[in-house]
Amino acid sequence: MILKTVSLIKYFGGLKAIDNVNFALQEGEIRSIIGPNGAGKTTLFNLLTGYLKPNSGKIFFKGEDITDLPQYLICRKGIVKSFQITSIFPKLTVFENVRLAAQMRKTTYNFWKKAEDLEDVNDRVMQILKEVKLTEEKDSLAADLSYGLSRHLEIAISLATNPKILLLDEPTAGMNPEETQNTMHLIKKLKKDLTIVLVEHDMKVVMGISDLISVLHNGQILVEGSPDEIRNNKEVQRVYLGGR
Amino acid sequence: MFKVKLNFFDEYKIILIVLVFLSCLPFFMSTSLATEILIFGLFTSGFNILLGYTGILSFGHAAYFGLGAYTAGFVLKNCFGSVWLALFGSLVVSAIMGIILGFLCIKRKGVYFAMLSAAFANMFYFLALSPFKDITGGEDGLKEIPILMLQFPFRLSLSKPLNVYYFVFVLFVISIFVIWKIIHSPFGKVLKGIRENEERMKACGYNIKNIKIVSLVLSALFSGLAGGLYTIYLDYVPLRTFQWLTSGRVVAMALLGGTDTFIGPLVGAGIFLFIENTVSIVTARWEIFVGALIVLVILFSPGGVTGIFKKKN
Amino acid sequence: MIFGYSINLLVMQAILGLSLGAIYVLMASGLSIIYSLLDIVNFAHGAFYMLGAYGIYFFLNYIGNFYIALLLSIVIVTIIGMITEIYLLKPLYSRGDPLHPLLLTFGLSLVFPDIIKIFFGLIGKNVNFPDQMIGAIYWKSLVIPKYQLFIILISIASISFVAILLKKTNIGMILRASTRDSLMVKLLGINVSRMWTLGFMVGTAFAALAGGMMAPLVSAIPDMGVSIILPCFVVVVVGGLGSLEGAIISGIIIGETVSFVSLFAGAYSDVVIFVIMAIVLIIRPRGLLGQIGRKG
Repeated sequence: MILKTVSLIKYFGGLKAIDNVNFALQEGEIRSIIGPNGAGKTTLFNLLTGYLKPNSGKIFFKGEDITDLPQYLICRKGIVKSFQITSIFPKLTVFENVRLAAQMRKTTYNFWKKAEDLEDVNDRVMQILKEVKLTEEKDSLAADLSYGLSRHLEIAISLATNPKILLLDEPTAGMNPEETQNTMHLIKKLKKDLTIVLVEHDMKVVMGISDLISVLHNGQILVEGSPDEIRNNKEVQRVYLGGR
Repeated sequence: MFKVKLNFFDEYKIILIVLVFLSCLPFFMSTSLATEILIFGLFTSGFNILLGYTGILSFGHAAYFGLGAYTAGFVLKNCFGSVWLALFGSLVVSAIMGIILGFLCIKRKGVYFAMLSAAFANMFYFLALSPFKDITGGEDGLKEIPILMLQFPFRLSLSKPLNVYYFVFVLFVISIFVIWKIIHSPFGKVLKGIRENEERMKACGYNIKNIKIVSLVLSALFSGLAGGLYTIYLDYVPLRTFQWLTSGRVVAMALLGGTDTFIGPLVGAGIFLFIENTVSIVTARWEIFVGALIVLVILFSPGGVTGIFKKKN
Repeated sequence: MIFGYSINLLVMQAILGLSLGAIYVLMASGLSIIYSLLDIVNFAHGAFYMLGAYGIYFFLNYIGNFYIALLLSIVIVTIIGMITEIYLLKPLYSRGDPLHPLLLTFGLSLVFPDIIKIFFGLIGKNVNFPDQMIGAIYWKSLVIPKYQLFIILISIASISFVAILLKKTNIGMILRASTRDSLMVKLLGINVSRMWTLGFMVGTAFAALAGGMMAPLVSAIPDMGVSIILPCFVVVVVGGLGSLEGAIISGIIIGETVSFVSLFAGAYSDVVIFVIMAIVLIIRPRGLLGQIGRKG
């Protein structure tokens, strides 16, 4: 088990956004988290990456208690999120966007070398750009990318940090069917090196690539199971189609 | 206006041209104005490491300039007029203060840092004015610094203005070179990343707080060095080195020249001091000039003078 | 006798400290209101304070009545604030860079004093106390200076008035909701832009009131803005930007501390404010009340 939460609780003022969540992730999985809006999906991601701290409960990564670690340390340990609303470096080139992230593992406080001369960093960047199919655009400004490609850049930046667990927050949001297909291929390709957790609303994507699905509702895990089990689950249908 | 896309080598050439121009400066204007342009050019470039590259606004850089100036003055008075020791003292003291203030002030939001930096600089002003009057000379400043003589690597009398100019020029070139290296190093790229999208950098695993503190220390180092050079140039330390207005002027110079380019701070310092020199012949009311300049630049050309020529994304 | 000082003296010093604190609270509240609504740290806040002092000096030359002169001064300075917000600050909002308005107000903080110097000269201008407020109230054996009491009462009244207005009335509610990123309020059809101007005017009015009230005590001096803005920043950093309760508590504490330090150790009275700030930063980096402001 690569990631585990125990009785995780998060309040926003009086609102219990995450209500006693016990979440367990196996290495090499693709897990999707689905649920109606406001169910707490992004909040859960933010708790897992250390961006938010829980009010109570614990988070374990490979057996180690990471609950109180700052965000940047959790990232270094290998839990990385890509953003729901694309968060890239618009005024920098695509190459530089990924290079900055890739550089993290290599060096921060080097004042003397020319940044472009870090050969192994550059190699890694080219490798990642190939994986996300952004090689041709490497010298374009990030702000000039089409929406679909900028979402790929978003994933590329997260990948460059060499994560063990990649959390993708609505990676296909706003994409047309072709872009969605491309992204699905990409995620499936990534699976062999990583554990992936998705938050998604597009059921075709969810059913198409997940090993397991967790359904989140009102901050609690309603049910977990394989795509078929979830598809046929009455509770899930009620929650999604009926009222609250 | 023709826009120019600058690549690495173009920038390199422009800087060389600027440096050559600066080396001849005393032939175009009074030596004292020329020396001040170098000193404040260095001060502003150091300041811009924090503002232009890391995206942090400090309203209290007079703290480092003043500390550098007073430290140099103190060492010169009490340590056989050793110039290199004085400048070394400036660097050390400014860096230490950068570390202290960094740890105290950096962790909060940017606006707090702007206020805190102003407050701390002012604290130094009041400390120098009254409680530590015996060391600093209070309102009169630190006087009676011995006649300066450079001993190493060769004897050079620093009481002659032209000698001072070229001494400062050499140190200026070395410092600018170091700043250039830093900007283009992996660390420099990280700073730029923080300025572009701090949240993203944090999510990529960078320890933002520590990086910002290092950036502040580097900025403080060059500002302190500029202060030390100022003391050597003036042969005394005025209290105004700690003043609110000193912090304000460096902000104005950076904005005027443009915070987005490498030579922006240098250009800004040059133009600012040149105009200030001219204006103050006419009227003593040059604070209006500084303030109005800031207001106008912000309203109409936030990229400063060099921003007009730099190609927008 | 305590520490060699008589109780009377200590009480009087406490009242002086309270009135100084009241001024700090007025200034900090004004700054906080502007920040909460507009996301701007108004570096020109001290300059408006200074304009308030010069305003009352100016009007007293034409009108004998102190209170009317004070009122007129506040009105005029608030109008200047309104013009500043509409023509200088508003164009900057759409740029999305929070530093720009900050830098602009900083520029103004340099412009205003020099303009005053041109019209009124370099030397401070004396402002007379209103007749009823000269002297002190003698109660038991305590001496309570009347003017400082006046400052305290007016400050309490104006802050309470605005606080009630903000919390209880409709327009207050709208004002509070009209922060810079308030999509909701815009969707409701309310002219948010006008709310921002109003907010800036309220903050500026506080500064002008503070300056006007201080004028008899310290004279109207062109650079008085600088000497008040930095303690004001300290108050705000300690109490938390955007927190009215924080401004009140920290303003009073700092006012009292400065007052007593100037009694016991005069040379350090200018510095003690920053010492407090440094201590608070070390012990409780988030300010006294742990308020971080809206976006942490």
